[in-house]
Amino acid sequence: MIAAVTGFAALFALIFARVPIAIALGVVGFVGFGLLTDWRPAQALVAHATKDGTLNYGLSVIPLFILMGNFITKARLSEQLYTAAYAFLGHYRGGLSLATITACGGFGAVCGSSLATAATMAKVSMPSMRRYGYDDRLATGSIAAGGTLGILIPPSVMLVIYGVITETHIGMLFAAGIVPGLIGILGYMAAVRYTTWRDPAQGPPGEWTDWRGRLAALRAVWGVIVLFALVMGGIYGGFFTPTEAAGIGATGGLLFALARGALTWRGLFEVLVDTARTSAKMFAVLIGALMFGEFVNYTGMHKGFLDWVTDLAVPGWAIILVFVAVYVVLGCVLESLSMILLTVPVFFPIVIELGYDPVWFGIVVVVAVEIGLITPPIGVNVFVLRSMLPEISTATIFRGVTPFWIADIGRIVLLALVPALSLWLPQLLF
Amino acid sequence: MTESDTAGPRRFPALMAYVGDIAAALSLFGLMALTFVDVIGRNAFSAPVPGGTELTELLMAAMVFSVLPAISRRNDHIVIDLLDEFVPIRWRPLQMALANLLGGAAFAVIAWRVWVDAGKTADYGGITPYLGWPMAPFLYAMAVMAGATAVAFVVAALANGYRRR
Repeated sequence: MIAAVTGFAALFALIFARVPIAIALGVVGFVGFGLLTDWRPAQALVAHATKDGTLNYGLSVIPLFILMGNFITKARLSEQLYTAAYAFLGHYRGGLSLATITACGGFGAVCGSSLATAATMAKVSMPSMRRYGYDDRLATGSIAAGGTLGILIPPSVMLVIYGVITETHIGMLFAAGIVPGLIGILGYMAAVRYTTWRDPAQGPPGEWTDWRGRLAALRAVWGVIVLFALVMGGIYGGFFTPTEAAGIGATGGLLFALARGALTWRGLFEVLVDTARTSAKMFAVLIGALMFGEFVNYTGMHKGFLDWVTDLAVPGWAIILVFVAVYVVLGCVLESLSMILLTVPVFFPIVIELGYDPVWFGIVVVVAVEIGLITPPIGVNVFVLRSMLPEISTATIFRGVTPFWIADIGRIVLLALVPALSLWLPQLLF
Repeated sequence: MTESDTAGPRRFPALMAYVGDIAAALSLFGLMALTFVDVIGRNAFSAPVPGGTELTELLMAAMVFSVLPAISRRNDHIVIDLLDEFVPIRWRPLQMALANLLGGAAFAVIAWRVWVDAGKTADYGGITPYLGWPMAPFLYAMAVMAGATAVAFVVAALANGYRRR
């Protein structure tokens, strides 16, 4: 246990000293494992982890889902999604924010990344919110929060990573993400309503759209519906595995971008290189995490932790709430991928031992990660917006995102205490 | 590519990074096309791609290792820069240089161990399960690219040491 604690301390020291997370994980894992066992097995571990983290069929799902999202982003689907959402919701008070959140949810259904969702929707919805005189706080808050829906509503890169490291069925995880994602949308809408109820000047209503306009706008988003149906339907119909679904989805995204004339040769090259780089950075972290995980395993920390928790004899839900609290705190300082890779191997055995469902825990973890994306001081989504809208201060965005953050805390407690919300759909389908 | 990338002594690294980008783009496109053809072939014609799984694995490794050197040279790895505000600006070059040197050391060890592993694989004649391709050349290539990544980290460390911000 002391070895594990020392290892974690060394890891955090290196990470906060600005050492790349991948390198910090690998170095601490290698040195720790070497000191605990011997240098020969530690050397073997290096080659093993490097091969395991790259020459790996199951991991191909990660770059391919990222690729799908990047093609869709290139296809400029986000504009149609926003127009459709606006047609239905724009005339309400705070309607443009409501439309932004709904469009983020729709975009999340074909894109597995929160950053991409926030960045894409910012380009589309910010100009119109500006035009209607929306307060910067409400405008940026709804985009930053709405963007987090990208990693919960399937396909989701984070759910895939959880599925890979815990060997949980990715198809079931995807199905389990749908209802909590919808609850997220409703929660965010409530946050918008609350904000505009307190201060109507923050979000004036837009224009009314008649039913003809609405139906026309709805027809324009057929691409999203087709692609979502293709990927999900293929998985549940048994035509392909979730791993293969990523390849199908990426191909669909490519065809879609081509059909809309949104892709030049140069654009195609850029999307491919961009995706490869994003993925390679994640794989570097993954290789490091494999080494670190082997070290932590060897310290027997899981076992000690498990015994300790069992001895405490507190009810399971209390432990789950403690885990949730740990995630919210960690979300303040760590980025999503390393947060999942560090905590899940430690928490997962305990959750399973307590008799909880691995699919449900995956949803709790990903919602916790979503919260981390908008929690100060390093809410990643907030910084994406900040880099796109340099004239708005970070503090303004964080202030705007607060009501959404509170809605999220309510949602995660609800999901943690009522597993059926996550589990009924996967149980219905599988 | 900007002009400064192609000027003088910088031309070679920039060219290598470009070659790496092309290799990664082709690998990723191959990965996508392979999965697509495999699924269509299996469902429509009961004819999956022979050795699809191991091809996927090789393409994955190719994609990752093609871009790792350039990512490392550009300080583009995932980092937590939360404490940047508290570190005096004149320490930054030293801080970056040390972090990059640690990265260089880590990837030097990876290159060394994967190279040794490749040697062992060559000795016992390790082959891919379905197509029967020898594994050693692929592992040697991975070791070489890990070595290039180590070099890229060291170059980044030196560049950071010199640059004034």
